[in-house]
Amino acid sequence: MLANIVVGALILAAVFFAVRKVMRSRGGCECCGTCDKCAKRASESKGK
Amino acid sequence: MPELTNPIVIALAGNPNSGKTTLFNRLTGLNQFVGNWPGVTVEKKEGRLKGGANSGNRATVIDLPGIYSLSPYSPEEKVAREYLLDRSDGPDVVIDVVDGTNIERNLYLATQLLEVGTPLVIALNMIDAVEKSGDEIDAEKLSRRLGCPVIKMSAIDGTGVSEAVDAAIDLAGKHVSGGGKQLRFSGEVEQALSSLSALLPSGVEPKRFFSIKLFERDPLTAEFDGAIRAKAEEFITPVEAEEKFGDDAESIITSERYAVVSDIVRECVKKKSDSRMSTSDKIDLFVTDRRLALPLFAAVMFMVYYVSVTTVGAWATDWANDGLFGEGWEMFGLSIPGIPVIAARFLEWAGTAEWLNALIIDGIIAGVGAVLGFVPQMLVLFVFLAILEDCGYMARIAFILDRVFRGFGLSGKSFIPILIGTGCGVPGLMASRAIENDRDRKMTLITTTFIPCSAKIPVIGLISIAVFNGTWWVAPSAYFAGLVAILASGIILKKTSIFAGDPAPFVMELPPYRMPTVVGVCHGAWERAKAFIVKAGTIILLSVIAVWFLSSFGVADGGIAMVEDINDSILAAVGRFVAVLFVPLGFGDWRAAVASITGIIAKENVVGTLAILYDFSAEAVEEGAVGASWGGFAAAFGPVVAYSFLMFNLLCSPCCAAIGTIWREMNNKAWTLFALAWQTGVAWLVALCVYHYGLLFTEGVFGPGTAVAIAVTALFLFLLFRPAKEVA
Repeated sequence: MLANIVVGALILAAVFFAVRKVMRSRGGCECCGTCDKCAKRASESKGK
Repeated sequence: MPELTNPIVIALAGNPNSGKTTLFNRLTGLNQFVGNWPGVTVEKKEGRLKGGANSGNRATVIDLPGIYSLSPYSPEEKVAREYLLDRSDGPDVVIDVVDGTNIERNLYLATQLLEVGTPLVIALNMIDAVEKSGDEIDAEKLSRRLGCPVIKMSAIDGTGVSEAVDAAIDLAGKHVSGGGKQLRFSGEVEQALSSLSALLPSGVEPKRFFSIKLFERDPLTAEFDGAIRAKAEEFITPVEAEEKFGDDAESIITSERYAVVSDIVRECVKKKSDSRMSTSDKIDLFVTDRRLALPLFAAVMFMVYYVSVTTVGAWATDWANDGLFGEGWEMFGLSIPGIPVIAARFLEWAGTAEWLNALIIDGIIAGVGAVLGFVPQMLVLFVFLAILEDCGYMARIAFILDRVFRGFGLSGKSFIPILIGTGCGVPGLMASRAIENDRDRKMTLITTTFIPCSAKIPVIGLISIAVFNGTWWVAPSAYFAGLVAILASGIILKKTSIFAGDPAPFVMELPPYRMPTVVGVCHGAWERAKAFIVKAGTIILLSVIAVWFLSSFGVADGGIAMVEDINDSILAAVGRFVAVLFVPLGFGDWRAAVASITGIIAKENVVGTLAILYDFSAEAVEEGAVGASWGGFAAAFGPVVAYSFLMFNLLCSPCCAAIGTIWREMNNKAWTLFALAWQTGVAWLVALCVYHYGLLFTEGVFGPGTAVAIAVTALFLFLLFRPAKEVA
């Protein structure tokens, strides 16, 4: 039972982070950095 | 580094391919895509100066698209000019990145930037190449002539970069107005300019810049009062009528600028020898030769795809598919289990539920693992592409294909997006902004994604290795099929009244050949591979989980429950509806249909979905032999069906991200739908012909489908060879 909960939680966490990443990368683009939006975001995160 | 109290904005301006993005990446620590050909940057990009905050200097760096002058012709040139002229949100200082190996043409823009009035620093880039050629540039003398700092720099190795930034920050801190010295033209022109300057409405600044634009009758001055423009003609027309000039106003200014630039170059640059042919020129004699260029291009691209997908890449992919994501592999006498085996043992030990084990092993590991298994092939391909790009050959391909394209009424400009699209269709589609002719731009947006992007490599690799056992022609044929689809679509569309018209002129500067650096090539290949791996952990992971659920659950006992037979699943029920469309193409099986549909989310999904639906991991664990992982798939798909499936998935509608980009770039729903319908229609018809001709030639089968394929071929040939529409 505990193993099911742990493994299930890990899968849900992976799904959560994947969805977040996809939502942030403008609908699943490869974030090549070509557009201004991606470049600005990358720059801001590196500047912190 | 000089210190500033307020944050400043540094803009990087310069000619296309002068090294602005390389400098931008060095200054900001970002990894913007750098290409050794013009037109890579189509939007202005923003980044923070690396280490700026630590030294008290908070500076923003803006990378502008390359421009030849401040009289823009294409949309991205307009972006650069509007930004440079913006008094409220424009830059505090401009670094003009000048290609030192081509100083005369590059200084032409510098003369215009001086007129804008923003503090200017000239960064004399590629100074290493200049010195290697034996030429000498006197930076001090050049600085005196232009009235602004001139710094010798090499953005690639970092020489002079910090000096250029320091000079820019220093200049911005002084709040000087005026970019440098105003260069003087000949007497008659100067006289006219001074009269025009007096006509300018109050508040129009900089006066020098706008009086020249008024003289040139630039559209920028169209908003001036009609009386001002009428009065201006009184000063412009006498100069145009002068025998000495004998040209229109715009051409007079161009000649005057070049006269000034030539004078500066004569004084500040010592050429080693003008008559001797450079190494690049010697190589180009062979590489761009009329007869040799095309066969050489075909041979190079054939080798690239053959080696990456079929030989070196295939060995590594075999290991990844059958070893790492399969049963395991032997090393130094040790038997190392594959990931599915380790995961199965762990889950058995942990005692997790059966369905959870199935989700992890048959869903996530099988789906994501199958996609990641093709990373080695992609890495090899990326290394080849990075070498071709870095050494300067990619730019030659555009030049070579311009000749072919022009012969069919198409512009070679369309090939730059195609070159970029070999990596990813999204930046490729965005690069179409450099095409100023709207018809050609739309046509490029419709056809660019026919070229196989990196996400399609797993599909090519899968069919090539699993079904054709690495037959030499399969992988290269995918690239050439994309190229032919682009060319044929271009010719057919160009013959319609909507797209008819002369091709736009294509002027392109060929960068000198240079030896690719190991760091540059590895970095370029890794950046692309990293994006692919990240994608496998995000959109592919989500897709394979969804596919597994839909293929494992179905309607049973009046409710939704796990089903034993995959054919009873929800996905099978939905897939059968869609599969009808693919029956004429030979892959009417619902699993193949579902794989094609999931490919629209991301092309890698085709492989991930097939892996789940054809039980990739189970095959791997049970069989264990090399190439066995895809045994189930290969048995279900014969060579003819597999090639038809490959052609459909290569040419049909691209992934969601690319569709979104087409929509954004077209800015029109009807045109976007037309593009998607064209791509999918072409893919369907090509796959239909491949399947029925394949059956005819391999098994001698002639059915109704064969007759349709012949009719399609006849229609295709008619559309291809019919006379073009006359343009009024």
